Amino acid sequence: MNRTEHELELMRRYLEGVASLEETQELESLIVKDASVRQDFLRYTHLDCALAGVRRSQSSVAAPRRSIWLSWRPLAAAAAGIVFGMLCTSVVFGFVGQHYGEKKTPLAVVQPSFEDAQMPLAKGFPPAPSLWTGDVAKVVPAENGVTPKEGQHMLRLETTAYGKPVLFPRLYQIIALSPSGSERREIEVSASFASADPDSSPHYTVRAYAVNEAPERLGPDWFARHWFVQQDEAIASAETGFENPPSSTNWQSIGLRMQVPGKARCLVVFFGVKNQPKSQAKKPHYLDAVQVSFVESSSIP
Amino acid sequence: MTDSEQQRHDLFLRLYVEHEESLRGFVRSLVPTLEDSREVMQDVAAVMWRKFEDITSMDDFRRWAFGVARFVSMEFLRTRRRDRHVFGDEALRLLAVASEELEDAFEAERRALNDCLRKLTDDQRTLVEEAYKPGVRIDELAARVGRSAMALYKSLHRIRIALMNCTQQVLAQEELT
Repeated sequence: MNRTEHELELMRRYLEGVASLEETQELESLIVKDASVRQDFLRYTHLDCALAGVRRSQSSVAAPRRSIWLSWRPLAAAAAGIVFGMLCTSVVFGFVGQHYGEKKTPLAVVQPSFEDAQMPLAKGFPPAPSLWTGDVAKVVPAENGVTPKEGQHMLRLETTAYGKPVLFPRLYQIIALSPSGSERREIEVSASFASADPDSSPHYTVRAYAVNEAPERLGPDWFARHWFVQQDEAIASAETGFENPPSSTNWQSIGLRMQVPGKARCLVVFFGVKNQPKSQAKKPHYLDAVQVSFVESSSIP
Repeated sequence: MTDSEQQRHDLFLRLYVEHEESLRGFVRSLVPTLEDSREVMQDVAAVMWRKFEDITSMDDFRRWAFGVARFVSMEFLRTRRRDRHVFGDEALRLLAVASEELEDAFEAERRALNDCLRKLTDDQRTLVEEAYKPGVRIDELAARVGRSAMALYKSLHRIRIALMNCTQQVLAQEELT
């Protein structure tokens, strides 16, 4: 980048809200006259936003080839520090699953391994708990060089539907949470993804929202409102993502953990694959081995 | 929600997700301070959803989305930040055009950022981690670590420049291989 110190300092001061009128006008003049300044200014702002979306996960975990940084959406509750997530490669996940002194209690996820070939799959946001809903998908056995991570079947996420590309195939499920007297509980959500077209650089995403609404009060309207508007009714959320390694059709396990207030009534889990618009996948992606668990840490005697 | 509303909702989510990061970067370029730009982005998403039915062609979504982002940002600055000096219309228009044109390049840089974050020293990584926590005030962070706020601002600035240079190197390397 061929910017002078002065130009970079002008950008910094503007973006920190401390630029004087003269400094703002000088930067504005540069932005209007010079396309390369415009570009570098936008690169700076994009980097700033990207850094705001990454936080370090478990620092002791070695992730030799991939980042252990994660992105997450701060809700009001998250800003209070009750939510965190983590990005796990297969290696990292193995470590996470073996925390000493931890006890995991699985929550009832419907069809976590997609073993029922007749599993119903509704479109859109779940109308009720205990249903998988979302985009065009189908329970399948091994195919396209991908064998199920668990059992004999897995879920195929189509990359085209009705002759058109699906840019972001995704699945949802609402899981009812039993009331808890404790102030907070830790929940782990994980799943495995694979792609029959890994060179299309699919980006896998896991999200979870803990809300204090009763499950029957959730619906598409709630989701439309909260997924991007981030209001307070969603009392905790976490998100993590991971880009498939080039040329690998291996399963990639991704997980997140979140601190959920005891009053949370249900958990909405979301699993998606974002296709790159410029390299639309020609073969499907797959989802398997979904796990949602309460995590309890035993105190050291 | 009827089937057609559901379809509209799904379509909106797809398009929003596709452009969200670019919009975030664009809004940040207009709105001084990260906290304010976060707030504006929430309004942008809400307004986009409310106005989505006004779009007649989805081919225009990107341009429309940047228009909404620009409008909402300016409204915010007009009503909430009168004390701040901000850019004029021509600069905003040019930034919007460049944001749209360079969307793919910025996405590539975000991907390369993962590699570059690993190259930071532990101290740099800790500083980034602390400084970018939502709601953190740099002056309070500075007091906590026994440095001046200006020193922290400058350190963060240097880290950002290093990361920008690094992402360019990573992408250049990728092109060679």
